[in-house]
Amino acid sequence: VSDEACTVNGLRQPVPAQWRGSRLLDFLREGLGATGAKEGCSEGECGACTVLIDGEPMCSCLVITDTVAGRDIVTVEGVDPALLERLDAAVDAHGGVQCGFCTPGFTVMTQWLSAGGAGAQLTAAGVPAALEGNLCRCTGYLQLHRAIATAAGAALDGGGHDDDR
Amino acid sequence: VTGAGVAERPGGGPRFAPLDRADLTCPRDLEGLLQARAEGRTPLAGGTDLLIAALHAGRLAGPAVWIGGVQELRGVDVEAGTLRIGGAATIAGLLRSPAAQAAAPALLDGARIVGSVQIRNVATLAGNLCNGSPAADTVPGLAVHRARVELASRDGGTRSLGVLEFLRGPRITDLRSDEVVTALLAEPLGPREGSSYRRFTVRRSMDLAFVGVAVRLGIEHPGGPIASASIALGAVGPTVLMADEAAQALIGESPGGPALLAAADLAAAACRPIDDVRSSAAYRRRLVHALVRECVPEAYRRAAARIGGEGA
Repeated sequence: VSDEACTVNGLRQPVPAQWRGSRLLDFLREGLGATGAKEGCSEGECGACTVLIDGEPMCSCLVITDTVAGRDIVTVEGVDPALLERLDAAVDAHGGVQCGFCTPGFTVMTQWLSAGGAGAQLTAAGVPAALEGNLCRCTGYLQLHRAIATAAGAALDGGGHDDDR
Repeated sequence: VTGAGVAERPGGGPRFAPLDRADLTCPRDLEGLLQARAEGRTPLAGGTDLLIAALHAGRLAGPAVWIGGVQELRGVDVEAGTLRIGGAATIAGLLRSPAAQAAAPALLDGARIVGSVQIRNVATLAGNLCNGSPAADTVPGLAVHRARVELASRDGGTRSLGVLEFLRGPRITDLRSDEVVTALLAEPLGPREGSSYRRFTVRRSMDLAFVGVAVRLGIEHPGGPIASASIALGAVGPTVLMADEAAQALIGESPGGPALLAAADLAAAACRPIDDVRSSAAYRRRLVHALVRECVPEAYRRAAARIGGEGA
């Protein structure tokens, strides 16, 4: 089974036979106990189950576990602790959380953005477009987008900072 | 991850998963892929359409084969006057190619607005075509770039046909039960051409087009008349429609004058929209009119920019 292994948050994880053909989301949550990725819509619309595969965000509800053999997966449990601390503070300051169900997906996207995923010159105005695949039904987005722009170190260009109150 | 290792469950397998486990093979080369297709396995690329259908049905329709592991089908390059997009190339992979951007702007306009970041990272261009949706955002761009579909099977060898012939109706393509799309072959812009695609949706992302319009124009010089034109209409017919009379009305004309209105009128008259949950047919017709009036000047500006002039 060695050629069927993937890496999850830096640990090598063989995929046991009973998880072949399952969704990656199920293998992560139930097989590995990594319950940070959330099942929202189950069809790639909401982004709550977002993980990084070889550095790129994907919805783990739309990935069959067999296809990640040899690939590197980062879940919300594997996000850089220093970034997490910045995001915590920014989300707190901007009011970017209510029920929290979408938070893991947004957090993984923040990791991707801070690693330059959306291009070298990320601006605050570019943040909403980069987060187009993540839904939040509580906060109304502006608070979240501000928090994430702050935590990911986006250049301030005025675009993400209109007062919405 | 807790590091506690894999939880064992009585009976094994996911407990709450709404989807039966897929019978999926993941070949690493074309030979293995063609073999799996010859054995009757359904092609699964990004899964952004097939897995959603499976979710609603509770299972995949049958044994499947994953296309994405075949590295040799993932390339995107321009060579010998053809933009070649491998059958397993993702939408994101297409967007990362500066050569593709220069060769087929209308195609990349459509690719850029498919789904979301997460969706574009797994979804493939060939999958978007083979899904056969009349509203597919990449298909009008493929049509104005006269794309051909290259197909292969274990027993039938290879063949190729135009995108317009490949698409036979809504959700119906000419893909045979043992075939694989090995590549899409699009015609790059000439030095005096530009192309553009625009669609109308209510939401900016994760939404399907009410209408999409692609325009490709050739000009003699910046500010000069239109020398060649083609217009493709999406989501207003069983498959993409070519508005040839509308395109013809632009020849010899400037992009902003009465010819533009005439072309928009002809395109709106030529389309065959239906009423459905997203839009009424009448509204779709008005959108065709509006989008033609947006795409023609944009394609013209891009042609002028390629020549290096000031534009019109």
